[in-house]
Amino acid sequence: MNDALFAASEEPWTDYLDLLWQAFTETLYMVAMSALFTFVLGLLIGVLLYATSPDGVLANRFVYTPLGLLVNVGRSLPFLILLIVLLPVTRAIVGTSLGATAAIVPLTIGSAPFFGRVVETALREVDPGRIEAAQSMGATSEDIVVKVLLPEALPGLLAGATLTLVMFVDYSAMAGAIGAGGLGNFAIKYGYQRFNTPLMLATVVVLVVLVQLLQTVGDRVVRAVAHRR
Amino acid sequence: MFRTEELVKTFTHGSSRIEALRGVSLAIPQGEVYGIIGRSGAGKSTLIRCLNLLERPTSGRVLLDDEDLTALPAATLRSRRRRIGMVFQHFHLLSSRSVLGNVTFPLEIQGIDRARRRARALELLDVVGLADRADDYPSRLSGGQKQRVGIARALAGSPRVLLCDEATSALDSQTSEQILDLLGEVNRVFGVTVVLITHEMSVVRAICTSAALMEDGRVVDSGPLVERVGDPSSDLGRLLLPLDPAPAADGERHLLLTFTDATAGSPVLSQLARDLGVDVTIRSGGVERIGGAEVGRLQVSLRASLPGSLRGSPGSSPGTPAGDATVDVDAVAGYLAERGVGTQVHA
Ligand SMILES: Nc1ncnc2c1ncn2[C@@H]1O[C@H](COP(=O)(O)OP(=O)(O)OP(=O)(O)O)[C@@H](O)[C@H]1O
Ligand SMILES: [Mg+2]
Repeated sequence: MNDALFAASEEPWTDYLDLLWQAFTETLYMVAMSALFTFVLGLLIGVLLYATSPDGVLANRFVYTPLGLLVNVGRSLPFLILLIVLLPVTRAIVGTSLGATAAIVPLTIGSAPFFGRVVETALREVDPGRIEAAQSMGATSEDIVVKVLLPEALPGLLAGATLTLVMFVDYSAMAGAIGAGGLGNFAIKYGYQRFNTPLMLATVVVLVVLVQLLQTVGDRVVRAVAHRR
Repeated sequence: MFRTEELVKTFTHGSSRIEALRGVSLAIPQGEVYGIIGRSGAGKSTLIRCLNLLERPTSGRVLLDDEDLTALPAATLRSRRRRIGMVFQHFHLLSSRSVLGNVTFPLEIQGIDRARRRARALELLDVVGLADRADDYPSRLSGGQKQRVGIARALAGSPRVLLCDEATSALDSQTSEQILDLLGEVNRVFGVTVVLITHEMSVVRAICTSAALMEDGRVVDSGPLVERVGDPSSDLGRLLLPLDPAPAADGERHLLLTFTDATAGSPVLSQLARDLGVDVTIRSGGVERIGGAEVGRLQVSLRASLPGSLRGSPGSSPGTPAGDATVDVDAVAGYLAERGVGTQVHA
C-alpha cells in the first residue's frame, strides 16, 4: 500500500533538505517584505478611509468614495488573476517578474486593500468619546491619529496583522506556483511534478507549522497588549 | 466670563430637523459653579458642547472673556480649548495609557516637556487623591476613581473653566457626592469656573451658586440660586425648594413666601401675626442652605384672628370692615414685601 503510493519517488525526500530550507527562507523573505509594505500602505489606506468617511474627522467624499471603490476592486479580484495582471507592473518596478523579490509587488497590492479595511474596522471600534475628549483638549488631527486612534486600536490592529500575515503564507505559496520561489514553488517543482508525494507532504507540514507559529505568536502579542490595559 | 448670544443649533438628518437649541443667551460669570438643568432632550448637552465648539452652533456666538470662539481659525480655537477643561459622564479615558499617561496627555499635545508634565500630573493626582495609582491602567479603577482621573486630566492644562456633562450620573450616590465635593474644592482652590449639567436638582442644591433651567431648547429661567429662590415666580426656585400646596379651606387665603439670607433668620412671621392680627399657618415648604446661603420657601395660609384688627396697619389700604373674617391679603403681602420677603398670592 505504502510502496504503491511512494513508488514514483526515486530519491528519498531527505535529499532535498537544503533546497527545502532555501525555499523556506524565500517564503519568510516574501512574507516579511510584503508584510512590511502592506502594513505601511494598509495603515495609510485605513486611516484615510476612517478619517474621510462621512462621519469622520476629515469627512471628504471625494477621497472616501474613490478610495473605497479602489479598495473594493482590489479585494474582489482573485489573487491568481492579480498575479498575472500585475506581471508588467512588477517588471516595471523590480526589473523582473520572476523570483521572490518580484512576488512582493503583487503580494503587497493584493493584501494592502484587505489590511486597509482591517485597519478601518479596528479604528471604528475606538469609542468616539475618546476622540472627542482629545479634541476638547485642543488635539490636532495628527495628535488624534497618532496618540489616540492607533494606540487605542492596537489590539485590533495586531489581530488584523496576524490574520494578514497568515494570508501571506497562503498567497506566497500561490505566487510560488507561477515562479516566485519559496515553499509553494518547491512543493510543485519537486513534489508534485516529480510525483514525490512525501516531499510535498513535508512542504505542507512546514507551511502548517509556519502558519501555526505566526498565529500563536500573534495571539500572544494581542493578549499581552490587551492585558496591560 | 463665558457668554452665549442667541445660540441656535438645528440638527438635520435628511428631511427631519431637530431644533436642539432655539436661541440661548447665557452669561456665566468667572468663579461660579453654574448648573444647567432640564429634562432629557432639553438641549443641555448640545449647549455645553457648543461652549467649546465640539458642536458648531447653527447661528449665534460663544464668547470666552469677550473673544468670539466661533470666529476663530482652527489653530487658535485649539489653543483656546486648552483653557476649557471637559469632564464626561463616561470618563473617556485612554485605555492605552496609564493613569499618569492620561493626565499628561493634554500637556503632551501642548508640547510641554516630559519632566514638567510628569510633575504637574503627579501634583494633580495628589489633588484628586490618586497619587498611588499613577502607574495603573484605567481598566483597574472604579468609576469614581476614573472620574477623578478625568478631573485631573481636565485640570492639567490649568483651564479657567471646567465643563462637566453629567459627570456624576454614572456613579452611585455616595461616590457622586464625593465627586461633587471634589468639583466644589476645585472651584474654591483654583478659582475655576465649573459648568455642570445634571438632571438632578440635588446636585444643583449641593454645589451650584447659579443655574439655568432649560426646556425644549430654551433657557426658561436662570441666575444666582439665592436670587431665584427669593423670586416667588421663579421656576428654578420652585424646583430648588418644591412645595406641596394644600387646598385652601373656607375663609383662608394662601400666600407663597420666599426668604433669602437676610430674612430667613428674622422673626417676620410672628411680627406679622402680632402687627396685623392674622393667624399664620405654615402649610408646606422649608428653609435650606442653597448656593451657600440660607433660603426658604413657604406656603402659608392666613386667617384673621381679631376681626377689624387690620385697621391702622402700617402702609396698608383701609382695613376690612369689622366682623368680616377674611384677610386683606394685599395688605399682608405689602407688609412682608416691605420687610424683604418675596410674596405671591395664590388664586
Ligand atoms: N448629533 C445629533 N444629531 C441629531 N440630533 C441630536 C444630536 N445631538 C442631540 N440631538 C437632539 O437634540 C436634542 C437635545 O439633545 P441633548 O443631548 O442636548 O439633550 P440633553 O438635555 O443633554 O438630554 P439628556 O439629559 O438626555 O442628556 C434631542 O432631541 C436630541 O435628540
Ligand atoms: Mg445630555
